[in-house]
Amino acid sequence: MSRSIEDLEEMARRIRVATVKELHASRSGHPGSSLSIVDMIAALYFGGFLKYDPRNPLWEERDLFLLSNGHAVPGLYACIALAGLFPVEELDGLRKFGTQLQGHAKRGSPPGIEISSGSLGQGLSVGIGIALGLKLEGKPNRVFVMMSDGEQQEGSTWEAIMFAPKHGLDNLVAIVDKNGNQINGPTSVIMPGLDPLAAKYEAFHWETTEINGNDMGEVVEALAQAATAKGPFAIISNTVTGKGVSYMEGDYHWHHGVITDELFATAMDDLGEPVPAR
Amino acid sequence: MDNGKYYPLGEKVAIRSAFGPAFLELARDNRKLVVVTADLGGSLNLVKFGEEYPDRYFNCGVAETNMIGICAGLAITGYTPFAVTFGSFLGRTMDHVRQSVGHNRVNVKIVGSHGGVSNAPDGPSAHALEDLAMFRALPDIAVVVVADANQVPKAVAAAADHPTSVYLRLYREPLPVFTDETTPFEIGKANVMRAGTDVTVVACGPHVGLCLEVADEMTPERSIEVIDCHTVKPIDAPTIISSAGRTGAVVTVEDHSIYGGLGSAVAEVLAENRPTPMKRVGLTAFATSGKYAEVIDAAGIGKDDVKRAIAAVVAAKAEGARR
Repeated sequence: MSRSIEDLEEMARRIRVATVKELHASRSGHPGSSLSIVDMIAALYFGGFLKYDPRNPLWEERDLFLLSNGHAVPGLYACIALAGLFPVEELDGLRKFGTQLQGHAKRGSPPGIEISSGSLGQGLSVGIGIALGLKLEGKPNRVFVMMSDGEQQEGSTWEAIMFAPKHGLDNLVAIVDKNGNQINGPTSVIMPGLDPLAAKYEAFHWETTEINGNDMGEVVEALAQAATAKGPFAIISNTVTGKGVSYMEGDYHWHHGVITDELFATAMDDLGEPVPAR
Repeated sequence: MDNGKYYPLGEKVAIRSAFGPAFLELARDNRKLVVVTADLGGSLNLVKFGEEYPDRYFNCGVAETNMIGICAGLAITGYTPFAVTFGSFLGRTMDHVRQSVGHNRVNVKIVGSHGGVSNAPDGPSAHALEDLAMFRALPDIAVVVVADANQVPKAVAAAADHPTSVYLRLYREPLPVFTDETTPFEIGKANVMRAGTDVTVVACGPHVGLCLEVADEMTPERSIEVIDCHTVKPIDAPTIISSAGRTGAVVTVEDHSIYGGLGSAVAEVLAENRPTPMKRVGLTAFATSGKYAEVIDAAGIGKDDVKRAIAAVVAAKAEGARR
C-alpha cells in the first residue's frame, strides 16, 4: 500500500474534500483540526505505516490509531471511509441522530474508530494501556495516538507522557497536531508556556522529532523514523488550522464553525474540486 | 490469614490488608489479572503480588487519571485490570472513568481503599465521602462495599468475574470480623445478617458490624433486622422491599455522604415501591482528624446516632399507625 509522495498528497486532498463536504452537510463541527491532521492520517492509512484490513476492522494483527482530540473526528471519518472501512455515502450523516458518526469519536462507531474521545487529555493513557497489553501478549502491533496542542494543557497528558518511557514502549507513537490554535485563540496566547514542546517530550525521555505536518515528505520521513525507535516516539507535527481552505487557514475562529453554501463553494475551489451539483 | 483465607470471628483486621493476599491467590490462576496503582499498592498489601508478578504490576506514580486510562487500554487488549488507590483520590478520575472506561465500554475494576473516615487520623483530605455517589451515577459499573476482611476474597473474586466494571470500596481501620467462610456473597444480593421485626437497618461496610452490635445492645427492647447491603448498585430491591414490608421502618447507615450513597439508593427503592418511614445515617459535613472511634461519633455515624435514628423511625412508624 506504500505510495509516492504525490499519490499521498492527492489522497490528502481527497480526504480534505470529503471532510469539507461532511462538515457542510452537518452544519456544525470542528473544521480547523479536522483539516490540519489530514496529511498525517493520509500517510498513516495510505502510506503503509498503519497495518489494517478494511474488510476486517477488528483484525487481531492491526495497528491501532487512537484519536485523542476527538473533535477532529470528521477528518478521520473521511479518511477511513476512503480507506474502505465504511461507505463514503455515510459521511453525510455526521452529527445526525441515528447515524454512526457521532460529533466526537466513539469507539466502534463505525468500526475502525478505536476509542471514544472528546474530553481532552485521555487518549495517551489509553494508548499506553493498549501498548502495555500488547507487550504482555508478546504481540508486534503498534499504537499511534494523535493529540492536539491544546490538549497538552491537560495535566493528565503529562501523567501519561511521564509514564510511557518507564516501560520502554517502542510500540507507541504520540503525534501532536500542533496547529497553533484552540477554541478561544492561538495556543501561544492562551498558554505561552506550551513552547518549546519537543524539548519537553525530550526532557521526559521520549525520542522526538519536529516536522512540518502539512508537508507529506516530512510526515513520511517522521513516520519511518518512528518505526525504528527504541522507546516511545513523539512527533511534534506543526500544522495549519483549516489547512487547504483559504478562509480557515490559521484562524482560530475555525476551531469550530458552520460551512455555509457560499463558503463551501470557495472551499471546493481552494481544494481544486468542482462544486457538486445540488 | 497468611495462608488460610479466613480470620476467626471477632479478630480485628483491616479490610485493606486482606486485599493483596486475596488478589494474589486469584491472580495465580488467572494471568489476565493485572494491577495498576497510583503508588498505593503497598497500602493494599500488594507487594508480594508485585514481586511474584512484576510484569503484571504497574505503579504509575501519583497519577490517578493516568492509572484509569491505562486500565482502559489494558482492558481493550483483553486484560482484567484492577486500578488501585484510595477512595479519596478517585474523585479527580470521574471524567476518565466516564469516558475512557464508560464510553469505551471496557471492563475495569476500580479499588478505592480507606473508604469513608476509616483513615481517620489523616483527616478530611484522606476521607472518601463521595465515591459511592460518583460511581453510582455512572452507567455500567457495579458499586460494592466490603464489610469485613473475610468478605474480601469473595468480593475480589466476584468483582473479577463480573461482566461489567466494578467499584470496590475497602477500609483502613482494623475492626472485628463478623462474617465467616459460609456467609454468602453475590454481587447484587444483600445479606440479612440478623432477623428482626421492629425495624430494618440497612448498612454497608464495617458499619454493618457496628449495627449488629447496636442490635445486640438494644435487645430485648427492640427487635432489629440488620442487612449487609454490600452491593449499593445494582441494589437488591426485593430484599429491601420485603424487609421493609415486614418491619415497617427503615434506617440506613453508611460511612459516606448522606447524599447519593446507600441511603439515597434505599430511599429510591422504597419511595418507588413501598413508602416506609425512614432515617438515613451518614455524613453531612467534612470530618476531622482523630481516632476512628472519636471521628465516627463526631461525624454523626457512631452507635448513638444509629440508636437515635432507630428510635426516631420506630416512633414515626407508631405515629403513622395512629393516623
